[in-house]
Amino acid sequence: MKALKLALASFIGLVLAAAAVALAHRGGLIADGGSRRALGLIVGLLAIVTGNFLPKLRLLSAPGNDPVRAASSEWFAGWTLVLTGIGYVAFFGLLPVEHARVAAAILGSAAIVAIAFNWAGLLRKALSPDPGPLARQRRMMIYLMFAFVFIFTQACVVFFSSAPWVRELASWMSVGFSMIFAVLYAILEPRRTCSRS
Amino acid sequence: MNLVFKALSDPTRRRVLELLKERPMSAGELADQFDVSKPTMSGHFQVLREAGLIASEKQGKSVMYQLRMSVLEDAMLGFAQAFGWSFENKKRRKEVFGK
Repeated sequence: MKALKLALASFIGLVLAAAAVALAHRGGLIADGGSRRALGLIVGLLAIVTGNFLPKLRLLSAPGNDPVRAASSEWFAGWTLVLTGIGYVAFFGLLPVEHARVAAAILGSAAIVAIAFNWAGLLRKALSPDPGPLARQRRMMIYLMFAFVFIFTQACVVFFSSAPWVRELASWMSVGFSMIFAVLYAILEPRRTCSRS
Repeated sequence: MNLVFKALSDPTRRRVLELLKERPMSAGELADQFDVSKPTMSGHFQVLREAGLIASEKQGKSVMYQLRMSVLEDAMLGFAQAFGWSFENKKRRKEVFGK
């Protein structure tokens, strides 16, 4: 539970930092290039924090999943995200912003696709609507992971290009992710039955 | 973090973590790997639990241990293994593992 609280606090703190950078840019306090660099660094830190705590949270350790394979997949995702985040920090810290954006988009997309393929067979059993305390904790972390995947995927798309169609795509992705979250919530939350007294 | 450093400073505890990386194991299975008494092993498990590096679950009469390390803690374990083992002499290794 301690690890969960620390992961959550770090995640929220970084998201607030990203919002502050966006507002500062909107208010003219930060130049365009500076805000993009700062946001790239923050997304990299988000990936590092999420990846670091992922193996500790045992998202895939559900009844029905092979524990050895589940642990191996969790380690794979954790290390992939941490190394991707370090890559983001290096790109946005050292490269010109335009090169950093494209490199980050390619690296981030490859990381998400690799993790998705690695987790494909295990995630179904992990999405259990059981009401037990471990299953509840696992569901909370799945929601948090979903939020991270949303932010990270949006960042990859926006980093890739400044064209208007990309911004429109990002808007539609927000709608899509919201709908997927609603479906996920409906599947994951245990059904409560009302009893007549 | 102090608890993590304390947990990783002992070669027996590091070996327990390496064994748990392969698969979850019971307390008995882990104790069989070392030539130390059961109370000593229980003490090692307690230190690892307090550091949040392992979690225990009772299954019938036995206690199963699972790894609960973050990526940073795994990196620290690798670092401790790389630099810690090199300072051990053969006699100390024989005391710990009985081989």
